[in-house]
Amino acid sequence: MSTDAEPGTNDELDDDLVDDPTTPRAANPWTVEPLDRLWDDKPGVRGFLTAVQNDAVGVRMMLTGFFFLLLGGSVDSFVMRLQLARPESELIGAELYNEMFTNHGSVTMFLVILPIFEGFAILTLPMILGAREMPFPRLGAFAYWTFLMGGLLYYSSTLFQAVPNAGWFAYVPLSGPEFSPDLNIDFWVLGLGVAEVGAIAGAIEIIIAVLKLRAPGMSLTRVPLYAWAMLITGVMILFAFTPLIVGSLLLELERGFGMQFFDPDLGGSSLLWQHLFWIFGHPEVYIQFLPATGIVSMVLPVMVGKKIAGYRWMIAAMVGIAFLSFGLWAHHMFTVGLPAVILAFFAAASMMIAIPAGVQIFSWIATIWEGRPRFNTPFLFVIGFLVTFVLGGITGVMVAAVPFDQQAHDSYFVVGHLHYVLIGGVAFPIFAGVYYWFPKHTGRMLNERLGRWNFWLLFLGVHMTFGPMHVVGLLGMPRRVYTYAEETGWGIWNLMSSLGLLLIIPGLAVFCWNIVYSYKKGARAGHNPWGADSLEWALPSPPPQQGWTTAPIIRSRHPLWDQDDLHAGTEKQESLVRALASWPLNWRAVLVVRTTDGEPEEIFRVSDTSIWPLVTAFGTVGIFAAELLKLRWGALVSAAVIVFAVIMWNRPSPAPMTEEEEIAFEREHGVPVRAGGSLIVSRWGTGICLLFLSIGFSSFLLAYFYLRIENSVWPPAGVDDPSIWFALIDAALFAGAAAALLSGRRALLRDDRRGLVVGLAGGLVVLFTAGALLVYDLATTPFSASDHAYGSIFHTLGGFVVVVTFISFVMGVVTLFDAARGRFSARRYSWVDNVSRFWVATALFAAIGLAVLYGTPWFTSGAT
Amino acid sequence: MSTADRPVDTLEAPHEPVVPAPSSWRLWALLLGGPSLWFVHFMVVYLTAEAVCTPKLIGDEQPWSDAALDGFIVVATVVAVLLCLVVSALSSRRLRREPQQWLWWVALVLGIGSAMTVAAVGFSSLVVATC
Repeated sequence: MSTDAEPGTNDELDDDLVDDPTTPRAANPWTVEPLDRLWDDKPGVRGFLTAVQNDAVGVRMMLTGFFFLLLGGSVDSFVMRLQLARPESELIGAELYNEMFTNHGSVTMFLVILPIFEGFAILTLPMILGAREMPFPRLGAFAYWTFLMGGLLYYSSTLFQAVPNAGWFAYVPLSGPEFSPDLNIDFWVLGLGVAEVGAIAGAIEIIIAVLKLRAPGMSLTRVPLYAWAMLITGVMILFAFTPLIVGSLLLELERGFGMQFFDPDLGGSSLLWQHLFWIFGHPEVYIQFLPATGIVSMVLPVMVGKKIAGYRWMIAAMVGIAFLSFGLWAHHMFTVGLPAVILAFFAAASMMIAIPAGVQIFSWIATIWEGRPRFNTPFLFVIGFLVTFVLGGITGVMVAAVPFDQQAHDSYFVVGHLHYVLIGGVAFPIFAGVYYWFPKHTGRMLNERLGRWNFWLLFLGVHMTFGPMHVVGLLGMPRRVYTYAEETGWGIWNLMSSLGLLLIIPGLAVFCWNIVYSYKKGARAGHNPWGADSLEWALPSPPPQQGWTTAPIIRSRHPLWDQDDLHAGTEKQESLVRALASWPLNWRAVLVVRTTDGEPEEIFRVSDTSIWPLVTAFGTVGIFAAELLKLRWGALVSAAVIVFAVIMWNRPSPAPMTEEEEIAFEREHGVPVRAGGSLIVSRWGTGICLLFLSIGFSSFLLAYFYLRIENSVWPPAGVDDPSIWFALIDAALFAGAAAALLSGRRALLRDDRRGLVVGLAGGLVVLFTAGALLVYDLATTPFSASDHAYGSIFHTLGGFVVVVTFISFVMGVVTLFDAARGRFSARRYSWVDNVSRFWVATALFAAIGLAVLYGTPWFTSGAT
Repeated sequence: MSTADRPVDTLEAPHEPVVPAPSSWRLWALLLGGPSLWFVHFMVVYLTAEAVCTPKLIGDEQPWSDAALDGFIVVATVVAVLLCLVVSALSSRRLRREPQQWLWWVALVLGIGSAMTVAAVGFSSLVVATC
């Protein structure tokens, strides 16, 4: 320590440096400055719009999330609590109250916590993992712009006086065209839809970063728990948000195009929406909870000076929670009339998830028990998290019991429960994380005295606000009512809840003031003001743009506590990290490691600043905005913008070194260099994109079969079964197209570049034929997409295959263009590799889709 | 803080030995095998129950009787439990060969936990009326 104060317990030490100099530091070679300049984004407005660096993207996402929190989380809740403070209050009317609770739930669930967590991961993960960047910086920038534009599109509803008003779950038929004919729900579906696209883009970044972009030696068993948590969260986002996007698409197709998915009179089912929504909605709680547990697992051990007890149990618990959370969704539907056995399935799964959550709680308690706590602000928030979340978890087990839930359903008991879980389990860890990592990113400590005020005001305010809700809920007060009669006796409990807000608001104000004050006048933070164990604390505060100039070599899960030298390893490792510290200085090089053991596997050139992510985001929001305004030509223009922007986004700049130079480096250090584009990371990226499409496709299939089950006659009376022969021929054509491209790929690997061109050109002709035939068949069906649920799902599922085919076709044309110019070789073929995988997946989607659409009626009602 | 004074985990050695890389596909298969089996079982019994019970709710004839559905759920549950235990056994065998590679231990725990959860979900049908 360079001061008398203990690490992290500074108070008004404005002139002193808070640091623990005994922990090892990152090397400081002469290349720090040139690399800092290389990795920095450009200055000025253009630089702002083209920025892709992880710190710029991460900070923007977090600030945008906090901005939406103040807008939707705070103002709405304040007005709602004022309204409910007294019985029979007429402060605001029912309609405005409906808009407020819809906005409050929607904004906090979609536009606040997720961008904060994803932004924080994008900002911090490279430092924690010992990497320089995220794998796809442009994708990160795209994620941010879509978040921002989606949120603004959603909020623009206020300008049109069409604020969404059907609850954050938008149940049909209330949200359907009959009961919500105005634009309110369209803003909800389309604005949040854009933000959901951003969430998925961010998740892809995070998954690949944790799996592939780590320091040499950081095996899976040495990955910090925060990174594990974000990896699992990223996968969960893919699996949860995609069904919601599909559900939102179906809802908008019903609202905007007259299709029929949810109207029982025309073969639809209103429960289909609830299933698709809650398949997202319940995992969403854990998507927010798991990153919070990751933060707690980083902060708590440092604050008690003890390695976490049961690291491996924690990993098992997080994986268990991730899977189990996808088997709980119908516990939000216990009162809709599901068969008893299905209620039992979901109740059992809902109770079982308490086991892994309990494992985590006991691990943290055991760590505190073994350690010596420092009761500073981050630790106080951790304790607040433990107390509040355990209470929320217990009430969660209560509502998992069907008989209890049927009494408490849609009552204030549930409101109290979910706020205990989300504020205790998510918001408190966010505050802990801000207090903990603020010094790393700003070089200033947050003020401790203000921090304590911040904590105690929030902690007491939260319990005072949400504790009485459990009681008033058990007394029978339903949620989403704008007022209540005096004789109900609910007034005193509501008054207590509203008074609690008078503690929360100053608590948030103190936090904001602390940020502003400490950013300018806080005590200076050294490399490691907390005496922490994880890699980021070996870097200067704030770190240079590239983070790690010399990559660390990891020999322990707690490198700063167990290693004296962060750059000592095997001779091969040391030689590689030394070489990478001084070369290259003119392009952004990133190291890729093997997934399990963290051994170096590839060095690749990460993408540079670009305007195209912003243009693509404009195109994305353009499609949604055009649908909102019913400008169908606008959607087509926006789609064209997206296609053009994505092509430009992926256009390669000339490789900064020749293939011969790459080979020479590989001979010297044993690790391949791919300055023309990564083979490994792009393969992972393509794989995860295909996983995303597969989940979407599965959601369409689920909708198809759910509607099939709900209808006695399928297809409806008067509609003939579709032709199975057409399906067989068209599926064969799709398979033929993929086979042609694969043969071209094999030719390229033999360095036969002409063979690639021939295979690709032939494949494009066959693919075009297959797609055109499918479009023709869909356009000439004897029923329309709006006649009944069968027609709607038939055209929608078929449309999915057409869209994927179109994407494949565009990718193929671009590839043919580049192949004809000799861009690919037996060494530089990653793009061809990825397009081949996409075409094979397209053939599989087509085969399964055609089999379901054309085969299911044939199997269930006999051949025609 | 000197290295000697730094925190030591009671459950872990301060310096982990270098562990040879496990086969990647086998690791992921066993690590995610138990929970995946749980999910597959869950969806199979749920969708089957939906397919059998929904026709009754909309006034059609059930394709299977309640007893047949019960039987299917029990058989599916027994099969899934056994498969989860197979995953656990394979993980245990790998763990004995490579005791330092404790991700096999995580796979073992997840396999056992998945077997318990499959049983809790599937056998709940024995104590409630089916449709």
